[in-house]
Amino acid sequence: MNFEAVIGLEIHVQMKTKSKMFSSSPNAFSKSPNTEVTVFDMAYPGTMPVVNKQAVINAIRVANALHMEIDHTICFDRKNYFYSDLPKGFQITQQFRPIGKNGYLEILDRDNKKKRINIERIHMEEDTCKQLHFADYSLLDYNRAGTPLVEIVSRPEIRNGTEAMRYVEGIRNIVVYSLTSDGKMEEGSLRCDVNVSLRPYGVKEFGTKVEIKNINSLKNIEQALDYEIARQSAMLLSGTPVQQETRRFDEASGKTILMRVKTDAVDYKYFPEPNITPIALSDEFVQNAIDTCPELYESKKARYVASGLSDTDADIILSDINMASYFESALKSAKKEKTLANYLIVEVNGYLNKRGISILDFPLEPEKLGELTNLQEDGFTHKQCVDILNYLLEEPTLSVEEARKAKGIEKMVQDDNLVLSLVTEALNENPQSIADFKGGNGRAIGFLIGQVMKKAKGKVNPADVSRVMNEEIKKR
Amino acid sequence: MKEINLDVLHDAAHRLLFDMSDEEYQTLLEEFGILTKQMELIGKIEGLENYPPMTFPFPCEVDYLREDVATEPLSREEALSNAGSVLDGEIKIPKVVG
Repeated sequence: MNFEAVIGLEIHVQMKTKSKMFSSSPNAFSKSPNTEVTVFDMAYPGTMPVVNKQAVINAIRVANALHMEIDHTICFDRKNYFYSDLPKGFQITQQFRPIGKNGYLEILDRDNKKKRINIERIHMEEDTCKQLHFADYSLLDYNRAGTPLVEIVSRPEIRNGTEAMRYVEGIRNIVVYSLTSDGKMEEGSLRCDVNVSLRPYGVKEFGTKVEIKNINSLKNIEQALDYEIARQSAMLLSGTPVQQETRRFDEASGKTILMRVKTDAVDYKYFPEPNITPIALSDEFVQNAIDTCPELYESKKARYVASGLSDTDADIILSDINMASYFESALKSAKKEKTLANYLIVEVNGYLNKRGISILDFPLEPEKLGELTNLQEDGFTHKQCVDILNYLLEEPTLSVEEARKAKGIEKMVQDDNLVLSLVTEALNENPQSIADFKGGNGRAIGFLIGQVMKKAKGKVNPADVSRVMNEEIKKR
Repeated sequence: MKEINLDVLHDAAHRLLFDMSDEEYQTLLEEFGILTKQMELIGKIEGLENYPPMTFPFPCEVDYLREDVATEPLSREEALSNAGSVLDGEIKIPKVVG
């Protein structure tokens, strides 16, 4: 019997704001423990939550990018639970009236066909504190407590690991390019919980669902789900019922591992947050949040592809928002987008990878890279341009023109008659090399080409020289 | 509405990790009895079902949102001053997961 997987995702995104969701405490990643907390974050009696405007703007932007209905009244609710990760004894969230509902994201399925994944809701809430667990004690760092979050809940319409991975990738692109979040799964600023169950094809009822928590990379989402689907299939085929449980993905073994078996659903006794009255957002406020949203990934990609970049090239540049930003700055001085993209993807990326640094640490200003690529458009060879680039990377204060002159690099002359006369001259002067070549020494032609390049002082194209040399030597 | 009896109160106290004397449980039960009667009185108001549940006694919608400006946080010493036990700048508690 074949089974259909039913997958739903809950994605928590930490918002990139200056202050926290309900307090004015700084909101930054990786500061030393318990140095970014205010009395509210630690639930001192009498402290009151005040909603962060930028967090609301960010949530509206994401909701709009996901084609959601946006609620113009913001309401918060209490999710009550007793645990050390939130000292108030409750989390402030939006249970009853999420800021956005009924949206969708289009992804490519396994056959690269467009598929719409409907999204139930997006709501704002506060993050919990970070807990470190040891053998017989736990440590609490409240820096993360109160960090603004949006939670995006999909409908259970995802059918395999590839679709899940592409869905999360699509969400990540939206939150990163709207400047809502860093979207760094490995640092926990985008966290993903997956619910997966299996049912025989044609059956409408859902099977027993298993939750896989905190998967920390796109690749792991695909792997975890493919493993889990295979595991549940094998169980069902052997007549073993799947039990409702929470699992985690073990990267080393590529398997999901049982964390705990779920018993009764926890009753969080949600009720409207009495310390935050409903907040009315004007139409202008909502529209302005949407209108001022930075250009999103898909729009940039369409623009890049329209200007001549391949799909893959556009994806490579857009895979890092800082790379995309560098590309756009360089475009101001570059004549041709495609040439610039090639330099960025091959030469610049090669330089960065070799040194293990990011584009933010690349020594050359983007405008100069743009100017450099123009040399190629003006007739300099790729190799000449790369030589100038390498020199500029050593001397980044020089202008492109100064670097070119310092390296003594001149534009190639496109003159077949000149090439022919120089080749003829070189052949006449080196009869021994001709004899060596005819005798089977292939390297002799390299020497002859070198002689021509020397005579031309590097101004002729080596490819032209090679072509003419091969033709002429055969005539001897 | 769920009936509030001694079993419910014992269970709630157990979940909240505290206990009381029998006398205190009795007092609490009586107080809940008064509250329940009052709620029943309100429930008898005619046409109540035509109103959505209210969190606040009167409409009090606002339009205020805080500007996203960070202020000086507590010093770590202040933040941790009420912690029973501290290790490496973090609050140390008994292990809370199995």
